Amino acid sequence: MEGSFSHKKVFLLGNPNCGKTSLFNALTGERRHVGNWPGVTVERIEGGREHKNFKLTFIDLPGSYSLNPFTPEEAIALTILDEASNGLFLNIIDSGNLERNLVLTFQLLEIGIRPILVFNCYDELLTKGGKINLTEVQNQTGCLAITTIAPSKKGIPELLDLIVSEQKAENRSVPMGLSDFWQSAMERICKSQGLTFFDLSPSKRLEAENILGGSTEATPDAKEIREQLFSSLSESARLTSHTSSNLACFLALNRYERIRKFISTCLTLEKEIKIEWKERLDGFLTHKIFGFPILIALMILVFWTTFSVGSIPAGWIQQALGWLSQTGKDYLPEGLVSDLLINGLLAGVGGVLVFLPNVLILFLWLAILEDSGYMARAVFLMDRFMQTLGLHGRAFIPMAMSLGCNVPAVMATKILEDPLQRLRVIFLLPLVPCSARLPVLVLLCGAFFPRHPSLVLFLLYFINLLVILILGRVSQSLFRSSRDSYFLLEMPPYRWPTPRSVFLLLWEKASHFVKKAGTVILCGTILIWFLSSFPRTVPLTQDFDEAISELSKQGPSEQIEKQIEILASKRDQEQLSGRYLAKIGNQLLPIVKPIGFGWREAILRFFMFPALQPLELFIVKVNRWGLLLFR
Amino acid sequence: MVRVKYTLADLQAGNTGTVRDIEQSNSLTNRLMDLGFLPGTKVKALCCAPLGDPLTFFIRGYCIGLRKSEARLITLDREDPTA
Repeated sequence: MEGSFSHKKVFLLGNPNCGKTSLFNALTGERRHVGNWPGVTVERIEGGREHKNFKLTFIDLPGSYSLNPFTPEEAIALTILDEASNGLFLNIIDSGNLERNLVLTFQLLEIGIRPILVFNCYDELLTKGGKINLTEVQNQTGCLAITTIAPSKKGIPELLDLIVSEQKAENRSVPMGLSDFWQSAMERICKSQGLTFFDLSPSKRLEAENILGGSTEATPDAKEIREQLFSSLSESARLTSHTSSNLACFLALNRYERIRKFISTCLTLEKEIKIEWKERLDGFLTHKIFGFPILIALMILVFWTTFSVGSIPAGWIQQALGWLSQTGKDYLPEGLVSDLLINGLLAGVGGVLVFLPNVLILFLWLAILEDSGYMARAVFLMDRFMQTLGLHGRAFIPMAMSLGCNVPAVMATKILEDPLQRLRVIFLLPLVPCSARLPVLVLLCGAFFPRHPSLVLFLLYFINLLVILILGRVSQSLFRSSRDSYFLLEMPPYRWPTPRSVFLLLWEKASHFVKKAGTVILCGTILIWFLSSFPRTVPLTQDFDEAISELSKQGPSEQIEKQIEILASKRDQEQLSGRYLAKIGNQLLPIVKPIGFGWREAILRFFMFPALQPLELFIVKVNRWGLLLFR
Repeated sequence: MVRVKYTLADLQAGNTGTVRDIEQSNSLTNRLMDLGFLPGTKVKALCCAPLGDPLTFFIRGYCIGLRKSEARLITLDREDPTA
């Protein structure tokens, strides 16, 4: 029977940049954006799939290094601990970076969660000469374990089988939790609060662990337990050369020690192979002298290809559109329908489609820069400079994108961890001169300063930069974040961008763009066309058509033709000012009058919004609240 | 003699040091410990950005960038200068 599906929720949890999103894509067949830098996923994302009579819902959570949340995104991952204990956890582990990735795994085990361990990026470990003994992993942790290579879908069917066969995430007995010392202290902490450790939910257990580690305020009883534990730990640590000053540090040391033991039994390194070209490349790309020139050259390459190479196919699209509207005019009878098709649809939707090649080339470059791991280096190079603007080095990426177009740049601000800083960057972005402004500036400079157009243009850009600098500083002093801002950025290993992931990204962008053009823009253009064409009959001050025909009877002469022209344009203006569009514009007039705009400008600004729509301004969920300002 | 603290920020590029302790008062401390900056851990300084800040380090098999102010939270063992 078809309705006999069982449901299962599967939560994906892992370090940033461990390949969670590409695994999610491989599991669900969706095409989420992935990139080779930490922090691409910032919200929980759900996707579904059916497998062997099971309806599986996968939830991709933002990457987190540990269960001690440091960013708002990591806190999201924490909120689901209890919800998820009724479902299933997949703990994704970057096989190339086992030691640090296992911190999260061991924390999960400590609070009694038994995830399925997914050793992703297994190919990277293999090229380094390593191998994971899965049976040993399963024996030691009591968890099911599997190795995968997400981009090539190796191990994915087996993983699906495992997910279906696994029963429950939570396991009351802790197969490989804390060392006895810690475990008994933890149980005593719970007891002092009248609770039993083994009856607690995972999040409550985590709370107890935080009390023990000292990050949460403790009761006098708990303090005593802590002091006892600390003195006995210091006693035994005195034998080794390294000791530590607090319990949290002891706990972390203890965890890393258990991880070391675990790795020594489960991982076999036949011979360690160092990949030299990666180190050399890094030395070159972040070089003291060459670093900046390379970065600038890359940026120039990106924007040059985006606009010059992109203009070639854009020209083809324009030609095709021109041909279409001409044939439309030739074959369709004049009237409302042809007016709607040609002046409404073709002009509106076509006008947006023309930008598709530029957008795609820009995103192609961004995909390559992201997947290769260069973006993190760019952030590293620019951090000091961005700090003079009062911004984090990560803000460089949206700022650079903004030279192309402000709108995708607004979306890119999601990489900033601090919400207030995100908002500040969004405010600064419109000040960055985007590519669409360049031709206008060139035109104006040529017209007003015919002697030194390029010098003036350069000055404009320079003053613009100064304004951004000043406003950046001012906004920093006005909106000082309560949270300290940290750099703390993992430098991901260089990876070859896989054609598949680049292609998927482009496909996603293109289809999204076309879909938007076909829906929102289509409706918008029809609406605008309707508003500017109705009501059909507008009371005019005089009968222009008759005046024109009378004038033309008087025979052709230059003067008369001019008069006809003036009359015709007057007629068009009067007609337009009688249409609905003008009426709305007049309603908006009080808002824009202080800045010296008339109703035409008001309408223009009002309808600019649908023009920006395809570039996703409205769906920038990135900025949960910053967005509201843009609507 | 005034003992100047010897921190990760003082480590010359290319050199390796051993973490002695990590400053506890800072909210960043827990994160740094989760990332593996713990007493006894070996850290190698890789390079610094053209403007002198931030710095990159190699620790426990991966590479991480820290600002100087962040690296100063981590004290290192003073190596024997003759070694």
